[in-house]
Order: sequence, then structure tokens, then C-alpha cells
Amino acid sequence: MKGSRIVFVLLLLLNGALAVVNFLPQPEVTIPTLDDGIPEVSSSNRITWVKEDVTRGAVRPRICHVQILDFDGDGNAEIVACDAVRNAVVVCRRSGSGEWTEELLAENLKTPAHATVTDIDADGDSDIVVAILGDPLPSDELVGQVILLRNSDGRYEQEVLLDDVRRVADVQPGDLDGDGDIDLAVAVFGYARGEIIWLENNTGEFRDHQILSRPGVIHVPVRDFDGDGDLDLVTVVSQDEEEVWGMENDGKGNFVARQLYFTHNFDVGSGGLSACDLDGDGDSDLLLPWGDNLEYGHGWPQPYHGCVWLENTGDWKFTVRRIAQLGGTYAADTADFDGDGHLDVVLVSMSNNFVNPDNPSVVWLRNDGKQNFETWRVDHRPVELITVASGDLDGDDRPDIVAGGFHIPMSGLDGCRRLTVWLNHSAEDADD
Amino acid sequence: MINRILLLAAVLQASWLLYVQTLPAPPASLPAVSLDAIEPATAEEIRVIQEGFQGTPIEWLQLAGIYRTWGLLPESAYCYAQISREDLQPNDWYYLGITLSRMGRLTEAAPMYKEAISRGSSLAPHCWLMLGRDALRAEEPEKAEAFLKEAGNLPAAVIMLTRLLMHEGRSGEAVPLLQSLLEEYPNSLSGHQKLAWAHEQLGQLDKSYEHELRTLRSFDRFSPHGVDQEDDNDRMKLLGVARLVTESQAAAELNDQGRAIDLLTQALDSSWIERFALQLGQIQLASGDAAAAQETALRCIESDGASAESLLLLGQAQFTAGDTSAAQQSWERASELPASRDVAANMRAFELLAKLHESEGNEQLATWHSALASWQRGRLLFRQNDLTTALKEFEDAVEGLPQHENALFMLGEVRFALDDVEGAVGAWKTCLQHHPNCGRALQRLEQVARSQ
Repeated sequence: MKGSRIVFVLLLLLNGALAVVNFLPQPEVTIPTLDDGIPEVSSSNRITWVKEDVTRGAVRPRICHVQILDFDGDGNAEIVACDAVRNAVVVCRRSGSGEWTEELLAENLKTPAHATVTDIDADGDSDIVVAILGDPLPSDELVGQVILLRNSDGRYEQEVLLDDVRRVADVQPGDLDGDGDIDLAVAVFGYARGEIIWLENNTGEFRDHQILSRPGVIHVPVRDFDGDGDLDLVTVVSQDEEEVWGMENDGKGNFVARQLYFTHNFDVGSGGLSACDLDGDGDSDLLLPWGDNLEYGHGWPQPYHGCVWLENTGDWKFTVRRIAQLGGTYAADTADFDGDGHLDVVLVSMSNNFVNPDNPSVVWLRNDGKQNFETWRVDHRPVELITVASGDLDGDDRPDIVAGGFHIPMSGLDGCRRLTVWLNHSAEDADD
Repeated sequence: MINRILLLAAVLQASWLLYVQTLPAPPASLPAVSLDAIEPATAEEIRVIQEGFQGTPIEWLQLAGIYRTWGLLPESAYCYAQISREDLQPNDWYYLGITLSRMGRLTEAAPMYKEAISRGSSLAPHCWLMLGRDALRAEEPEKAEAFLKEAGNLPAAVIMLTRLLMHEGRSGEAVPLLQSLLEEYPNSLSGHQKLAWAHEQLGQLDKSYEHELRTLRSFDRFSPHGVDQEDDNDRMKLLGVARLVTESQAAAELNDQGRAIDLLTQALDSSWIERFALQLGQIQLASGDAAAAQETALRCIESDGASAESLLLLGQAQFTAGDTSAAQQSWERASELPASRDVAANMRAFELLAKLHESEGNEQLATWHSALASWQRGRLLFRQNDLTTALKEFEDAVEGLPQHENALFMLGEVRFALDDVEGAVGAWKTCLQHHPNCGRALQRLEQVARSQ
């Protein structure tokens, strides 16, 4: 009897406990961070990156292009940037004490997309040729231009070399017809319609020649891609076409266009195209960042985002290999960051899943010398980066990184900055 | 006795617990959602919806759509997961597939589209389109081709399919598909563009060139994105900045300018977008508040850089306020910057300048600006394929501007489009006489010579 009571009591207690459990409030459900297919990226112990903000700027910045070069020939490198809020081209200088100053080179340039420094008139000074988008947002209107900022004793006088075209994303110099002067290759991105044009320099007057009619051409690197002694062109056709085209020059400015590569995946979102000799074999390869999928007004990192290397194997043949995965990749540049004699790569992201603070916005890819790349994190802030360049900014013979931010309309993300630099310090320096 | 009481209590309690098990489970909690990436007005309205959330299937669907539209894709998928299969309508399976597709979870998305199809979804062709698109993203062209063909005459599917065929060197198969598309949509830019490329690949350069030129007068563009993007656009108008702008437009149409201004101001306080600011400026102008319109225009210029549209507004505000000289300067600056958001802005700037000079007795300047306005009008009409009216405008433009490069070139273009080849050649040659480096005029003449 006593045993039965004990059993009954235990049963009651158990039932009571179950009843309590049934009516406890449910714990808040936390969504796990999306597995966006991008492996966690850690920081390399070879390099310490020291971040610097380069001058204050707009709350919603729109930097379309950055480059690092010795602009004024003083032996120190500067940053030249295209600012689509100020509608200007600016140069930023870093003093020995690390202070940044900014100088306006030219304004009233409606959404400058790319500034190319070249002595176009062969008078011994540096002029600047600017690709004018005319509108930073999708537009198929005839708002593009190519504007020459002619250096006149240190002042820049503006001259329109090309207008009544769609948005112009890039302009690159080169003697394309072999007559000894500087011609220009122009990428008219447009939107639904676009083209590649070359501007023939006729003693300072420029005649336009269309080479290729395709939408979404972003960059037009000029190199001798086939090693026959003249300058050829290549370009990437984006806007859901996703092709790479070569334009073979006969040396006199007559071009034959051929498709070098395509992907069936219309969604890769090509962000640009740059030429480099990644494998150090003496020819020009291509780097193709993938990650612009802002069709919906918000991006999402896709498993195929990252960077593709097109290895030049001669005779207009390229072998294609993906070398990195990074959500929302928009731009790439190369430099030997770790000083081991091999060309590494830096990538920046426009639209990674930045709500997750673990997702990087800047990474560098370490080349082991055989073109096997390890991805290392540089930083996860700022975000919405659209352009990147590498070069030695602090005079220590190690290439640094600069990136420009482009605020996405209607985005509530905090953390977009105008111009940011990461100075390359070796691990030994970091310990000092 | 005590034993019986204890036994009874245990039985009652057990019965109660069994009963409780048959009750429906309490609704799942909303996930923890970060709205940091969303503009503030929209984020706030989403929070309000979340706070009133009761957990009904309709509410889960509503939130799933909201999260998807604003890029909160895992959250959207979570919401769908809370809804039983029985509560999902056929079209809901399509949108669940869209959520997964946008996340790059292509193998998971495919069964959702197939489920929608099997349940008789009215979006079945779009399901096939999405299956085809996702197969392309997965680099599975054979599958993609099969799926896209199932989508039938859906224009976006035809464009995607012809892209695939051309990439595989099968332009001969693409041509009839595109021709069929153009029979139904003769102004399709994508159709003419793809057909130009297909002919080019086949070595049919004359036909390629014909369609290439036709793209200049085509503006229908089929996006590979289908109804899901329309769904996003419709939903965006219900929340946040877009809602405020939509309601403002409605108020303006009812001549309630005060309310229209208030709503737009709220929208801009949350998220500054130049085109909405220009709308605000126009309403301020229409309501008689030139000072406010001027302030708005100046803020546009400061925030986004000067544009034809903002300078046009500034000039209108200055003119209304009686500062004619400043207005003239603003319109002249506006005419120097090609308009993009409002393509007629340059034309209006020239018209206003022509009127201003006419009122001041400057006949020569009035005529000059009037000719420039004709040129801009001609360009607008040409792109709308209104060739006859465009021709008149370009003729007027060239009469007032006999050496204007683009007016002469475009006169040639419109004559050529009207099959007046001789007239076109004449215009291009005249253009080259004044502008020997007009490469596109040269290219046109070379093309005509080749075809004759």
C-alpha cells in the first residue's frame, strides 16, 4: 500500500511537471546565419592591415574609380579618384605623418566613371581622359561622354572628345593605328545597348569608330594580347550576356572582334575586367570579378560570386579558372602583397551579406607561385565597395590598398565610407 | 480511500495532458530579424506588422513576401516553412521557389516550381522560365533548353532560350524564334538586338545591321526576371518610402498639394532619392511656393551634383520668383548636361530659353534655342519610332542649326529609317562636310555603299 502511494505521488509529480512544461513560454527562435556558401575567411598572419579613412566626404558616397600612381611626379604615390557626388576628379595625398589632404582637379563632370592619366597631346605633361557615365543609376539615355582634361600649366581645361553616346564606363589610351600618337579605346556601357568605340587621334581631333555593339561593356584593357607587336583590346559584356570579347588589331586600327569566353550563367554579375600577367609568363591574362546582382535593389551572395582568372595561353585562347569565392565581388586588382615575388590579388565586395558581420568586404588572395590562391580577410568594414587599387602609399615598398564606396539607393546599411586605405604592414611590423 | 483519490487525480491529470496534446501547437515565434539593411521608413512599417503578428497562414505568407522583397531571404524561407502544405496555394509554391532561387539554393527551388505546375498554378509558364533560368545558373544548358521550351511563348523565356542557342553556335534555330517574337512584339528591343546578333553569327551582315539600327527605335525590353519582380515592385509601393511617394502622387492628382508635399517630405527624410526630390520640387512650384522649390533644387544639386533636371527646376523656381537672369543661367546650364531621369528636360530647357529670349526681343537667340528644342524633340520622337513627326523636327532643327553635327546625323538616320536613302546620304555627307571626324556618319555611308 505504501508503495502504491509512492507511485501515485510520483505520477502526480511527473504529470505536474509535464503540465508546467507545456505552458512555459516558447523561447525566441533565432534564425541561424545564412549559410551563404562562402567559407569563413580568416586573417592572414603574414600581413597586418592598418586602416585609414581618407578625408571626410558625403554621407552617401559615390566613388566610381580609384587608382594609385605618382600623379605629380614627386616620387610619392597619390590616389586619384572619381567622385560621382561632387561630380569631380580629385587627388588625395598622404603626408609623412599620415595626414590626408585632397585637391580638386576638375569638376562639373557628371558622374565620372574612370580617369586615365596620359599625355594625350605629347607635350610632356600629364593630361587626364575621363569616362563620363552621366548617370550612376541604370539608364539607357545618351548621357555619356569622353572628356579630356588638358593640362595647361597645372590647370585642367575641359574638352569634349565624344558625346551623344550612352553611358561611358572606361576610356584607355594606346597608339591603336600605329601612327605615333595616342588614340583612345572607349567602353560605352549604356544599359540595354552599348558599344566599344575607338577614337582615332587626327592631330588632336578625334574620329569615332565602332568596333563592337554590345550592352554592358565595362572595361576595355589595351594590351598586345596576341604578341604580334600591336595593341589589341578586350572587354567584358555584362547585363545578363556575360561574355568576354577580344578585338584583334591589325596594327592599323582595323579590328576583328571574337568572343573569347562566355558562361551560360547570366547571373554571375561581371563587375569589370583587368589585364595583368598573373602567372608571370610574359603575356597578359585577365581578371574578371563576379558579384553584381543588384537587379532587385538588394544583392545576395551567390555561390558563384568571386573572381575568375582567364589565363592567356596564346593565339587568342584563354583557360578559365575561378580563383576565389566572395559574395558581391565588384572589383579586383593585383600586387605582390607579401613580397614573395608572386602576383597576389585583392577583391572588394559591393553587396555581400553585410548584416552578418563575419562576412568580409575586402579580401586578398595569396598566390603560392603556381597560381593556387588562398583567400585571406582584410576587413569587413566599410561596406558597399565598388572600386579598388593597390600601390605603395606610405613609401615602405609594400603595396597598400585603397577602396572607394558607393552607397546603394534605399539601402539602410551603415558603414559605407568614401575612401578607405589599408596600409600593408608585415607581421613583424605589427609587433613593434 | 487515499489511494483512490490519488488514482483519480492521476487519471484526471493524465486525461488533461492527453487532451492538451490534441490542441493545436502554439504558433511558431517570428524569427529574430535584422532590419538594419533596410531604409528606416520601411523598416519601421515592417516592425509594426511584426508586432501585430498573430501567426495565421495568411500572415506568414504576407511576411514571407515582405522579407523576400527586401532581401531578407532566410527569413522569408522560414516563414514559408511555418505554413502547412494544405494552406499553400499553387502560386505560393512559385514564390517559395523564387525565395530559394534568390538565395542560390537552386536544387531546393526546382521542386517548388514543379509543385506549382502540378497544382495548376496560373504562373506555370513562369515556373518553367525559372526552372530554365536556374538551370542556366547551374551551367546545365540541356536542362535549361528543355525547361525554357516548356515556357512556350513567354517573351523572357524566348530571349533566354535564344541566348543559349547563340552561345552554342545555333543561331539558325534562334532566328525563327526571334522573328516570331517580333511578330507579336514588333518594338521589342531585346528581340531586334538578339536577331541582329544571330544574323551576325550567321554571317548575314546586312540583316544584322538592319536589326541593329532598329534597336535605336525600340524600347520594349524583356527582362529575364518575370512576375516576381513585378510582385516586388507592387509590394514596395505598400511600405516605406515608395508608399509615401505613391500616396503623394495620388494626393497631387487630387490637387491636394499640401498633403502631397507632406508625404514626399516624409519620404525624403527617410531616404533621400533625387527623383523623388525633383517631384517634390515640381509640386512645390505648382503650389506657388517658388522659394521651397528653389531650396529643393539646390539640395538636389548639393546632394547628387547638378543635373539637367535639377537645374531645370531651379530655373523654373527662379523665374517664378522673378529672377529672370538667374533662371536663364540655370536653364543654360541645364541644356549643357544631358538629361537622364527625365529625358525631356533638355528639350524643356531649350523651349524655356527660346520663350525667354523671344519675350526680351532677342530674335536670333530665340530662333537658335527653338531649333535646339526641335532637335531634342526629334530625338525623343525618333526613339518612340514616330518617324514622320521626328523628320519634321529634325528638318526644323537643321534649318536653324545648319552645321549642328548631331542634328544633321539624326536627319540622316530618320530619312534612312523612312527608306529615303538618297536623302539620308545627303544629310550624312553634309554632316561630314562640317564635321569630318563624325565617325558614325562615315560608318553609315560605308554601310550604304556596301549594300548597293
